[in-house]
Amino acid sequence: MKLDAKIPEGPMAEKWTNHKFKVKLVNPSNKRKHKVIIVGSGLAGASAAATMSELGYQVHCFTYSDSPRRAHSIAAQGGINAAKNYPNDGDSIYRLFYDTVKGGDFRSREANVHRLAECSNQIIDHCVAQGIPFAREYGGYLDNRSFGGAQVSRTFYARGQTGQQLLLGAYGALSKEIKKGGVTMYTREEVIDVVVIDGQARGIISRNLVTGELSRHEADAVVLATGGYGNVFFLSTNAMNCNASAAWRAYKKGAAFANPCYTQIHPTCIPVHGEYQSKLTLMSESLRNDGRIWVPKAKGDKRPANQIPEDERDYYLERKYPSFGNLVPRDLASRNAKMVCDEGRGVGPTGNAVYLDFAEAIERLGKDAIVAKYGNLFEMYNRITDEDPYTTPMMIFPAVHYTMGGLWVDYNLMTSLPGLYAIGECNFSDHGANRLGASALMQGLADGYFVIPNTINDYLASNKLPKVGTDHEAFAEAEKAAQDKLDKLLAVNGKRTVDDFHKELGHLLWENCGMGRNEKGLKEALEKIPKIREEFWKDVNVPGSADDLNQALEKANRVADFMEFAELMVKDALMRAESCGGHFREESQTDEGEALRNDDEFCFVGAWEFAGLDKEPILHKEHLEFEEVHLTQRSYK
Amino acid sequence: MSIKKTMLSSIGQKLLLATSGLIMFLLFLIPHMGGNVLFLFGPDIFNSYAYHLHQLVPVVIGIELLMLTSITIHMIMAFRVVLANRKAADKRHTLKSSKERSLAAKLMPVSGIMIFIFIVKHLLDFKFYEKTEIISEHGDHMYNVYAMVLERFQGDPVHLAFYVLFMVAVGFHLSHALQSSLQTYGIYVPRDGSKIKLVSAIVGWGMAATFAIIPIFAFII
Amino acid sequence: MAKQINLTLKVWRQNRGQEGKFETYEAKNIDTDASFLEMLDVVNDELTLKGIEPIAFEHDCREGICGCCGSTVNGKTHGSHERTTLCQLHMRHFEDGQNVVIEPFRATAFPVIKDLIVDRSGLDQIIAEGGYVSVKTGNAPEASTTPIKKEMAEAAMDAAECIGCGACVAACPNGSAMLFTSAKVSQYALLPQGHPERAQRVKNMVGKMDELGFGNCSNEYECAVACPKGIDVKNIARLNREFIKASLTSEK
Repeated sequence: MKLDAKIPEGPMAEKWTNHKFKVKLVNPSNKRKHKVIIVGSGLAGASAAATMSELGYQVHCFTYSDSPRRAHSIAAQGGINAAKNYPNDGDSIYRLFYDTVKGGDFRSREANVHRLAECSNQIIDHCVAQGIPFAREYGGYLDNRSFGGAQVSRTFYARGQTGQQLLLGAYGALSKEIKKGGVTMYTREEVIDVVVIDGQARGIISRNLVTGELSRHEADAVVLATGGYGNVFFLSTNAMNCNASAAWRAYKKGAAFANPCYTQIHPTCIPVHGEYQSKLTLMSESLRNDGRIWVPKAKGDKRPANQIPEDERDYYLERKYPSFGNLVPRDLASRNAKMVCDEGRGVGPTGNAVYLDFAEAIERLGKDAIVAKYGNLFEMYNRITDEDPYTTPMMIFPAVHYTMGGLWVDYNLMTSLPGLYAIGECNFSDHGANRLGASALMQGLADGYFVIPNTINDYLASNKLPKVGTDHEAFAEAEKAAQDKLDKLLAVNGKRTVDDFHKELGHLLWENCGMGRNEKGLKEALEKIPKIREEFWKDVNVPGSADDLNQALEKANRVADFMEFAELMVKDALMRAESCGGHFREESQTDEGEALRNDDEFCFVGAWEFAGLDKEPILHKEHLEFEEVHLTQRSYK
Repeated sequence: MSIKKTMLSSIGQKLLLATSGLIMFLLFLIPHMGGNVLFLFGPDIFNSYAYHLHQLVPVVIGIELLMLTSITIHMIMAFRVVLANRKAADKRHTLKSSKERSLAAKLMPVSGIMIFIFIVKHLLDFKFYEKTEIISEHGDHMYNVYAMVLERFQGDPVHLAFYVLFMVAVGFHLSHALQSSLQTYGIYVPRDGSKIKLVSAIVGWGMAATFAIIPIFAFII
Repeated sequence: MAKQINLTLKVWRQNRGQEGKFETYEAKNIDTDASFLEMLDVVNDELTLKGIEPIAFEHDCREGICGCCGSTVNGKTHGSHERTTLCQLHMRHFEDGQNVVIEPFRATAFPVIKDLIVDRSGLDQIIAEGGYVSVKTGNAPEASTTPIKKEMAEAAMDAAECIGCGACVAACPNGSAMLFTSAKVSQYALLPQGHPERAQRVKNMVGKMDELGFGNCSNEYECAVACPKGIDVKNIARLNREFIKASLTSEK
């Protein structure tokens, strides 16, 4: 396997424009002859499906949910970045590009990030035209707020439900095309394998989640928009059904997996409260605009927050990073929360929490202003914890939230498997080792609305794609393998539930490959994961049958993939003996305990190639060049 | 969308239901109540009212035809809407309604049917019933409707109870119908503590009570 | 403070193409800080190990925004706590020893798929009739071209918050989807972007709603009580106005 990123020639600011001119086009009357499968209907999938259908392609879109509107993009709260510079605070496409590369700790591909920044403004234009009710000022113009990792206000938002509104916009666009007949929508249909014929992705195998029936779908190209793998940790802010299966099956069929160790731990989540807990809930990063994060200065101080006097509180982010304060990037905020908790200064019943305090903001702006800005978030917090954040400071703790790693893609967003594309969170491309807040929505929509509809044509126009037919043996083999796996899961009939195994795996990863990682812990995890996996295949209990709606079977099939994926993730973390972004190797830190990058040895994308079962995966390195944003140690002080 | 399709859409049917109801309310119920109240002022005034009403035969017939049309539309639409609703909300084993759902709203089909029975009975009692003729002091030949009312109720508590009970149905029906029709026309009737809901209840029940007073009065005197 | 409680559940069980019935299960040692769905997880784990097929229920985000979850709990959709989806309903609202009856969201337009899972694709079909602005990618003018009054944007957002869970339909005595439909119609009636397709949108969406066998609105407002996002019946009034206007003015 040779990785060619296909970065266009020319100055950074002109690459995308040049590229769009140079790629081959499919003429309008030929577009309708091409069938494209899109897996996933979140922001990236729905926007890509709608736009490609508008262009004239035959689009078949798949989701395991009952409706495209359920995708987890819907849960993004805070906002979406764009370089509009409406507040006149010095923003520009270049600054958004710069901030994103720096925020990603110099582990992303410059050309992709610049394109993302260029598309950001078009996204806002398009979403406003779609009738998305963004927040507005009294003059009727769009309002912006600030987010971590930036010193300008460039975040557009729709209350605390920006992701919901953007997804519903994309879902509307998708619905429009479904109605028109351009998109065939498959709901409650899970894609469980990619079919490769003559080295090209030519279709998928899917399972109808109601009847259990497996079916074969042929296409000229397959686009994965299947989101991230955060649920490998069991507890995360991802939705319960989020999984890595489609991406993982693609990896096993020849698509390289890049940087799997880059996971984002979000600093502001509601702390874990019990064994039965099924997921973690995020409190928007926007809360850090007005909330102040602190812990008691003294270890083991168990007094209630309001009895701790001002001079006995440590506003540690403001103290350590005076120029960004509470708005440092997510990786820093999370790591510092872990540090103070590890020091024994954490609060709450478990000691694994820090305060996010609005007392000062309420005094400065008045309670009404806080209600208007964050009312729904405060309500949600209250519902979950039964505490009133207007009078008692919120308690927060970091939680797995987003995965920067994903399928390796070139500038066209094509994976190393020809004809297979990856867009949105499921690719690795734009966020490097750490994603800045309000950038996930931006990337999902940029990929779906503006990038892939302009790059997929290059592949479709320059490759002969003869009809293969779903009776081709590759389809039959893939279907049989899928069926065998399901039957095998049902046949184990052991004594432990799927969740039980998933929790065990997740706990191991959180401890050994979470916010802080070291060689010893990673090696230990590498030893344990195969044992858990073995145990899983010996003792898992999956009730019911394969020809029915069977949620336990769905989950088991996904967890089986997590069991394999986890190993690659830990391997990658072990290989990357430097700290960067969300990947903090304890061996690689400055005297002050800050992450220490090692650009001499690790300034590359680590893309792993599947070499076969029970064989070591092969590491390919895509070296990263930084022409515009010069490699420096990040500083937010 | 053709007019027929529009009118037979869910909102169209409800608009017809509301409109036919409002026509009956405005053009029939209110004037009828005004006339009936005159019963309380004695036989001369009441009989004279009835006499003068009968002088306006073309108007009366016009109104009667309009009422007949309205009640037909109202009933057809009500049946269609209720049947569709029953069909749309089947097999609910445990669903409970909230405080928001008034008794009046729940009873709409029942009170509607009761009102229909009442109308038939009322017409048999008074419209298609043989009346005695008297001569007024001005020499006009008029019906003694006053005596007829007295005759129908005096000494007949069962009959009185029937009338009063059916006026309760009117109260229920109107108190929901009036505000509901406004919402159907697109005039927002808020959920909690709405003034419109209050006014609707006062008007509905007030009207029902006023109608009920007449038989009670006839029974007592 | 968290404590543990025991409950007796009566849960609707139904397989595809068969009649359903209530089954009784014990939920033991449930932490009051757990959510309702986490309670069901605990029960399901026990059932699994006993060899009984776990209760199928739809869920995904578990933070009240995806609209997947929802059952009728003790006769109330989402368990009826103001502005709360079932996944956000916590067990602290239940008493030790309480009986809890769990039934799927019922409506003729929502056929049961399995146990507590129903088919709500009718709502998607209503949206497909016009719950969007027909703008193609690339068509859009610069975002700040048209200022929109803040109040209008806020009112549009109030309507746009709908999560499509279907509680309004399940709570409506008539199984009507008026609140759902009105929320989308309102969003685009309030914003200038929605105006070119205004008349067609309302007619088509209402037409589809009727065709799919949702009931008629009788203005009883059960939907608004049930709505976990607080969508107001003001939107239904607006839908009615839009419909009347469209019927009186538009040709088709």
